[in-house]
Amino acid sequence: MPEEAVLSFLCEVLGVPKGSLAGTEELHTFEEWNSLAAMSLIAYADENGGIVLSPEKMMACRTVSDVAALVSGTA
Amino acid sequence: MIGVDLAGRTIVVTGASSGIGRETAILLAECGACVVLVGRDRTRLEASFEKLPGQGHRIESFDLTNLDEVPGWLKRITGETGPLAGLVHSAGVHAAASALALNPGKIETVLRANVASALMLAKAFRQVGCSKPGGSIVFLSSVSAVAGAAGLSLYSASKAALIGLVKSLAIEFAPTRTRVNCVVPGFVETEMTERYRATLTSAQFQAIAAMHPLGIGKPRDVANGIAFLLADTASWITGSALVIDGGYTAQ
Repeated sequence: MPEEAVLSFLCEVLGVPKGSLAGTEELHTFEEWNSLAAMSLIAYADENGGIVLSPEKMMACRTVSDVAALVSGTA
Repeated sequence: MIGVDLAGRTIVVTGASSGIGRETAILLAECGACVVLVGRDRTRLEASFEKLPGQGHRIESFDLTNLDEVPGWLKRITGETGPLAGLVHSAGVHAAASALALNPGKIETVLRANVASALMLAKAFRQVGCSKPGGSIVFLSSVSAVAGAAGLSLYSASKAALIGLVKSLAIEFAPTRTRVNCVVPGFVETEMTERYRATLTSAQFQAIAAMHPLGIGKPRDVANGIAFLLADTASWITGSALVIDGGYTAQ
C-alpha cells in the first residue's frame, strides 16, 4: 500500500486538510491522535493491505512518518 | 411445549462459512432442516457442509453485495429446492473506525453489505414460489444497534437499520403469515469479532468482556435463538428483536 494513500487517510483521521502532513510532525501534537485513531488505522491496514497491527505498536509511533511506514508495511 | 423441529424444511443460511452462520447451519441440520449454505468462498462453505448431519444440504457460493442479482439467484435455487421455509441472513461486515475516518465509499460498502443485502433477500424470499406461507426470516442485528461505543457509529447504524427493517416487513408479510425477526447478539467469539478484537488493547477488550455479566458468547448461544425463531416455537412472534447478549444491555 503506497505511503501517500496512508498519509491521505491519516489526514482524515486527524481531521486536518488533505496534503497538509509533511511527515515530521509529532503525533502527540494532534488533538485527534488517540486510541480511536489507532483503531481506525489498524482496521484500514487490515482491510486495504492485509496487514495485522497491534494497538500497542500503533500507539508507539512518534511521528506521522512512523505511522505511514507502519501502515503501508514498509517499517 | 413444542420442540424446535425443522424436519423437511428448506432453509437458506447466508454467511454460512464461519461464525454464527456456520453454527446456525449446523444446528438447523441437527433439527432436521435441509440447509442451503451461502457464502462467497466455496472452499470454506465446503468445510461447513462437512459438519452438517443429515441429507439434502447444498452449497451456493454467491456475493450478496451483487444486489441486482439476488432475486434471480434465489429464484433459480428455489426452482431446484422448492419453496423455502426460512431464511437466515448472517452475512455481514464489521466496521471499526472513528467518524473522522469514514468516507462515502466506506459508508456505502457497509450499508450495502449489512442493510441493502437484507432488503434484497427479503424481496427475493417474497417472490411468488420462493417461500411457503408461514415462512420465517431472521436477520442478525447487534447490541451495537441499541448501545453505543466509540468507533462503531457506522456499524451501529447498519445494525439498527435491521431492527427497523423487521418491524415494517413483519407487517407487510403478515398476510401470508411470513414472520420477520432479528436477533441482537452481544460480543460472540467468531472470526469476525477476532478481527475487531485485534484493533483493541487488552484493557479495552477486558472492559468489553466485563460488560457481559454472563461472559462472552459462543456462536451456539445465538444459533439457539435463531432456530427458535425459525420453528413453530415462535409461530406468534414477528417484528421482534430477540436480545441474546449475556446481560450486556440489561445494565
